[in-house]
Amino acid sequence: MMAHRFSTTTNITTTTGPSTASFASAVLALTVVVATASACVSTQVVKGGPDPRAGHEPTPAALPAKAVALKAVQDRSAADPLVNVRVVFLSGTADDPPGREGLTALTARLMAEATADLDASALADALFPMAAELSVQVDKDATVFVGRVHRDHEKAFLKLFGDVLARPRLATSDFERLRDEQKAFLTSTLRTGNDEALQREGLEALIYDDARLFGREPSAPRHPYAHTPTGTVTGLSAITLDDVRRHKDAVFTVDRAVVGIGGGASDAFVADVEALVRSLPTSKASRAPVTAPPPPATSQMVVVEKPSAGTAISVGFALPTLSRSHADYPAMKLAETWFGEHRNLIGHLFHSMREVRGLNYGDYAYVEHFVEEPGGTFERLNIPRRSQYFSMWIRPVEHKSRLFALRMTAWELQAFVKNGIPDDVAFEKTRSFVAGYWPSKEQQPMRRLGYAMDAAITGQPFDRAGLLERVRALTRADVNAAIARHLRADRLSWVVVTQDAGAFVDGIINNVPAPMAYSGAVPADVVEDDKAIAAVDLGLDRGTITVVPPTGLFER
Amino acid sequence: MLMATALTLALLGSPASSPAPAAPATFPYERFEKRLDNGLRIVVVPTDKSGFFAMYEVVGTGSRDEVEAGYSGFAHFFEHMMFRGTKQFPADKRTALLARLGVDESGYTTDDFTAYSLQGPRGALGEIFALEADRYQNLEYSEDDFKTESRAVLGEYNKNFSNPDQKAFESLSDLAFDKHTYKHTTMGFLADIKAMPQAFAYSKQFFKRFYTPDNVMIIIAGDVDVADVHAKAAAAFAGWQGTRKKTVLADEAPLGKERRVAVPWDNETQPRLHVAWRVPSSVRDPKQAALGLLLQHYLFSESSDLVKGLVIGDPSTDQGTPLAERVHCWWDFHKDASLYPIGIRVKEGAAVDDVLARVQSHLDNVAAGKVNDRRFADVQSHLRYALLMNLTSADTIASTLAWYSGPSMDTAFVDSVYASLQTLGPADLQAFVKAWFGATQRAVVELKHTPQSGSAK
Repeated sequence: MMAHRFSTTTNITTTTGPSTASFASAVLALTVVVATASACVSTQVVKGGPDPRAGHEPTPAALPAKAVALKAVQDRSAADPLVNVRVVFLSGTADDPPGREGLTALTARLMAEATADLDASALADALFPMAAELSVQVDKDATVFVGRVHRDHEKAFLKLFGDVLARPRLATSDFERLRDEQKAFLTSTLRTGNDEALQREGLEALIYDDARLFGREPSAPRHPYAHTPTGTVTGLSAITLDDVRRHKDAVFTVDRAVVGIGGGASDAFVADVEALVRSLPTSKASRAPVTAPPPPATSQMVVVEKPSAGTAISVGFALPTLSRSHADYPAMKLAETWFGEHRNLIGHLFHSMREVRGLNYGDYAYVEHFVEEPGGTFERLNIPRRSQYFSMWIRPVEHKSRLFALRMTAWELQAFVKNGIPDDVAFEKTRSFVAGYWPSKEQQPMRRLGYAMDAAITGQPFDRAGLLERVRALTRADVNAAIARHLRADRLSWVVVTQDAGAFVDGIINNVPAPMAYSGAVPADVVEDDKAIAAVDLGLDRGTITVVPPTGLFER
Repeated sequence: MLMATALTLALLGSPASSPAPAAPATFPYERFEKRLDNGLRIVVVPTDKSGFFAMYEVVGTGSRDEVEAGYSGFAHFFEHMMFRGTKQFPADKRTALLARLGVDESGYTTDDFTAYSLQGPRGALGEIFALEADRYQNLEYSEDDFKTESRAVLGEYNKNFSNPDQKAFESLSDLAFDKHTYKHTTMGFLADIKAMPQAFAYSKQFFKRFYTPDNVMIIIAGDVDVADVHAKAAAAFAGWQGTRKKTVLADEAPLGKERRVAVPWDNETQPRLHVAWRVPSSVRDPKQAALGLLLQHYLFSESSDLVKGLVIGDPSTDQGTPLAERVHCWWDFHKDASLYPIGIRVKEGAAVDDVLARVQSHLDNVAAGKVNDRRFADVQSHLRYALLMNLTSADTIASTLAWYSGPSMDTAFVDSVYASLQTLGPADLQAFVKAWFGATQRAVVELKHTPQSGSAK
């Protein structure tokens, strides 16, 4: 019910879905999002917004050239009483200067905290009667300022939104408070307060910067994606308010901006937001290049040892070429849906690990970075990163089943890489599902706008029609060939959060048998598969497994 | 060509040319409710021409109905079992059908109700009604499936409980109630969850008791035709029979003396203060629901003086130093007298008792009549717009109506609550707080890091 003002970093999921909802809103709201793209700056795309009753397909057009070129997307509808605005800056935590990790998130959050006219308290007071949303999402390659308000308050809200972008207060007290908040998120929530967030942030850290997580000094310059969007403890400690002021002018600039306006916004609102963004400074800094990290020589594992109710397992690797611009992207999205669609019963992993074996609450896979939208199961939008990774998310399993679950995760990945989508029935089922499911993700005007902006940012169709059209042209062989091109089952990076790590590691290294103990009878094919799972060789030894306490994680 | 199209639209369809309608003061969509002879209610909410529908099946059972010792968490567990299929549509066939139709499904359970959702292209509705009518009348699962699914529930418990707030809330419920089933959370007691595999026979009984047509309403929103939906639903569900077993529970009176417990936590974390008061049923009297909402936003939302003082600090007063990182009010509508719980993540180094004293002093001020009229009006405005801000698709419209209607099993509840919101004044809020939020009426949980306490086991 409340307007949602802050959202900084990291996948902290809510508990809708088959679950209990009485505590659903209890989940912490720290979530940073968004990201990048390729060429962006000078083309002008304006999409006119016909009424959704008319079928609703945004149409590209061009505006007369102005002094400052601005990339803009519209998806308006006169019938919509709500006004939506998103300003994406292709600047993210990859822009954090070395030693100042966390600067972009802190800068963006500080901007959204107070304006030149209104301190934090007064800004909260001003937004409250409107129940307006004014939030910021920060990810590695982009930052999004999101606004949403009823059209009754369009004008008053525009003033607040505009001042956040162009006239932020950047007060010392807010700076210190928000910096403390980010540090506490790292040292408390992420290290020990949410194992599922830890397993996934840990995996990214391992994929992009193994050295620090292993407790070693890195041999090469740190990858721009190495730290979580929230930053590092030492990086945050080093940041000054002057850093914030300089960084704002360097990265939240007109040439890095993409403006999106949707819902029932008026013409005046569009003109004012565009003028406002045009008034921002031009960046003097070039974006740090981002390349895929090289694969590890062998599989590697970091075990975070802490008291825990269950064992959380994540595995993945960087995808050197796959992006939304890649010709294989539609095929890989279809493959993802079959293998492990996020929190959906259709996913193969969900079926085999949860439904058949009751290992845990859910098991999913992703061919690109994924952050769940608060209160739902769809992906957050505007996160088209320049470097993507494949991952599998195995939610906490009982400790007694952890070795089995680990081997089964590897076994499922091996089968997926080798066989792809296994038969035509599964292929058609998946394709039929996405024909309904993907468009349903675009019902909400704010999401439709986000998709249209992603399309504009990547230069590739990313909307329902574009993606589905390309999926319709695929055969199962096409999809399986794409899987074979991009995925692998060796040289994996594993992150496991568990307790009694010594016994766990011994179990891996000594190939200790760990059959799944079922409460009831299971079908014969499951028994057979379990034998194959028991024989899986993870390719890990003492030299490639590192056990760490949570204490030093995200420190530097 | 494309350019011309867009420009024409811009000229003809400019949103600025439309008069801005005033925002309605309650749920703005008309509802068409039909009650079948067996008691099942079908509520249709036509919205737009998007091509989509969203269906929420609201079952009037939740953890409140878990009256027998040893079976806490069962309503939620049963929600999981509802995805296990029937003879005609076993789980894999069900999933395959939904996939072919492009329909996404989910479910959740609360203290008072359980909801199942399906959403997808409107053309799927006919087959969905047949599928769902079969599920509610002929649910069938083996004992082996039952045992397997019970492990997924344990997995859900385990994944939730690395979060100290979950533990604190669980302890608070246990502390604040003596007999009422709100004593346990919807997840249930851990011991009961671990024993679930042995409760196969009980699960059949649970289905028979509470999954009855008179205890269910189906809300369908979106691009749908009212008469068509009513006819399809009636044809599919007419043969369903059964009567809900009543759950008789007595409200527990307000606490007469503060209760307090310390909860150890294995992992490093900031201290948590969870405090709650018992408040009257918000369902029997929608005015109580409106008062709960007003207080929630007046005192415990981000822009309240209390929360700003705790989190931001106010240099102009003695509240200069922030004491907390986050304040959240978990309260929501309940059938019976329930908890009004506040969860606070205390800043490292701050004293928990100082935070508690601050919370109580703000409540005491309201009880003494110090209610800011301007703030009160802002809360009324906020609640009105917050409702409208939620309604952005068939799914959010149906889910919002389901959320408001679930505890009361009445789709008019939202109207009653919003009507009350507009008529209540500061004096009503004062009386509400004075009656229920005294320092002696509270239950307090203090969670703090205690190494080697074994809380994670």
